[in-house]
Amino acid sequence: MSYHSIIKNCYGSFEVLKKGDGAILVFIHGEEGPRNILPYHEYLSKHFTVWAPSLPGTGKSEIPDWVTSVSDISKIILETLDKDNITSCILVGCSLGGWIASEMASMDPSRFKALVLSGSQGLPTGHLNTPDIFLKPYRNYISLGYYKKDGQELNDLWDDEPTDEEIETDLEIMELTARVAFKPYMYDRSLLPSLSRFIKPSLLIWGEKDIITPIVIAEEFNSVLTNSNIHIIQNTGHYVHLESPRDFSNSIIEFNKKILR
Amino acid sequence: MLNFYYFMNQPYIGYPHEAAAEYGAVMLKFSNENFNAEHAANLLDRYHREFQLAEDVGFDGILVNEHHNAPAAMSPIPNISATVLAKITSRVKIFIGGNILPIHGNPVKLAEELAMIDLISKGRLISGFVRGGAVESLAMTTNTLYNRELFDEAHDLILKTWTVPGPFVWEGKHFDYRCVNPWVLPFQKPHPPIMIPGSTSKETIEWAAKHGYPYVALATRLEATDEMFNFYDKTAEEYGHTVSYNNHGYMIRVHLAETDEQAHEEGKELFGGRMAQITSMKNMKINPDVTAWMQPPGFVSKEAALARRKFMGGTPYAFFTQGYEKALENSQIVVGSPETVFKNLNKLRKRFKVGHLGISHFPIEDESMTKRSLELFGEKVFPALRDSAQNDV
Repeated sequence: MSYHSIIKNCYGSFEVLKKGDGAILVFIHGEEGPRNILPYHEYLSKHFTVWAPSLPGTGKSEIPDWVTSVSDISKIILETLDKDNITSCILVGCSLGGWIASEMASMDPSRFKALVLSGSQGLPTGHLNTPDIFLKPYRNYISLGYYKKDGQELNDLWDDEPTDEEIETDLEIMELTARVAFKPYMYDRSLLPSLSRFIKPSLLIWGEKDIITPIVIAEEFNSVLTNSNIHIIQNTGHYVHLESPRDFSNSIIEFNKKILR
Repeated sequence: MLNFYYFMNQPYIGYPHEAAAEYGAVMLKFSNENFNAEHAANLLDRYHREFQLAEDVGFDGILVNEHHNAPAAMSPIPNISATVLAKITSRVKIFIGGNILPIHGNPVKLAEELAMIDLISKGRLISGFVRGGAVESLAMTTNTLYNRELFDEAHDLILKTWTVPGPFVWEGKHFDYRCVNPWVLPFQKPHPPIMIPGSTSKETIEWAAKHGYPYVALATRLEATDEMFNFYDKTAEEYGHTVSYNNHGYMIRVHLAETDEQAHEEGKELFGGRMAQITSMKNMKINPDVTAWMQPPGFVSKEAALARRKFMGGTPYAFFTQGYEKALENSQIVVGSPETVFKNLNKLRKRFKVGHLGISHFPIEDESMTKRSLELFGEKVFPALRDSAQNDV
């Protein structure tokens, strides 16, 4: 069963996709935007209740005028979790969503049983000559987040001519990304020191061929998370959850089993 | 009253075109390893000589502007060009067209800089303000999402700084000052005249009209310009401003020679040749990133982008690619003998009811050609145009 729920809180109305049964897994999307139900939603929802909000300003989620940072977004999602009475859950975030999830975990560590980051933004990468989302056409940038072995096509999500609705989502997510990550570009120097507060189990799922947040970034996260492991997915780029959704989901499912032991 | 302005981008003529062609763009990330300081210094010297000549032959003003990361214009800080003008000229208006407000970062300091220029020039400053193209914001890593907000707030703060006695506190969305109280204020009261140059943005035209600031259309297409000034006039009147020739400005590229034949022979080569490419080289096939540089997030809203397309009949990016004959036919360039140039400029002047006419050259390698063109303007074109415009109100 899946449905979109609108949750009202003190900051406005926020859209959340809910799918599956079982323990709650909060999934924070990144600059790829909230799209329709994707394969990783399907895989994860067989083991969890996936609780996936559309970030403020995207989908049917409102965005207050004062939102200018990742911590602002984090406040809104935490408030939305409160309103939905979610006090214990696994938190997963990918790319920009990983940065938001890291921020949420450091702001409210007791709420989350575990943290999963994949290709997380939030740390400086400019010295690694990584691509800049604001200096490339949006969909070209996203395609750089796939490894694309030997000219292989991506998938229906990015290869087909985008519909008007998809273009609108592109514009919405780009505007939100610009609000919170334009300058400094995709990082916050307080993120790592703050994240060291989070001492529960963490998993860092990284694509072997990630050129947007190379594996050295996973190692930096790993250095402050006291109870964490890095899990590399071979032949995969930055967007592991999109390019290798089965491997991505299985990593989380296995990780959850270990936590429960 | 018709005022003539000499507009000079101060281009870096002679950059390696092969390197640019390979990169597919001459902006933003086209590497400055292609910059030669000695060559640039000599060019700036030459442009200063041309500014002085422009004053000598009778121009009423000199227009300098601001661009970054591109050989098309070596004037990243127009206030420095303006300061030089304040000292090497004595009569002409100094039109900064304009400071790019969203990327300046410190409106109070900008108000001080402009006040200094106005003082040094004894009240000859015309202060233009612009939002700038998206690449200018990207060059300075200024959030493109807030371009309009930054422009509006910086403008309001500069005006207040010039006109309201300090000290005062400013608590805005983007700027915050505890003690605005600059000692140095402009020579002209209540403040230097403000004119707004622009090319395609309906929002900017509306904004200029609301404030009653003259709007200077930068080589825009004829029908679009008609529509633009009609919209400007209607809006300005709605806001209680009386519109006159002084409210309309138009800038156009001109090439002038003794005869039509000579002018076209040279003009065709300059327009289509490598010199012209300096302002236009954007090959999206070679460098698809350029499309993102034109419209980064939030720079133009989806609605505004669509409206602008309809309003302006497209953007002016195809200026050089439309070809020489088409550009002449569209009156986007004026080429010919003094008589021909007079006739064509006079037609445009009457059509758009302009009180401010800006003239620029194509980037010309040969300084003597520019000198000749400026002298012909002074001797033969200005007197006829001034005579024709003497009854304008």
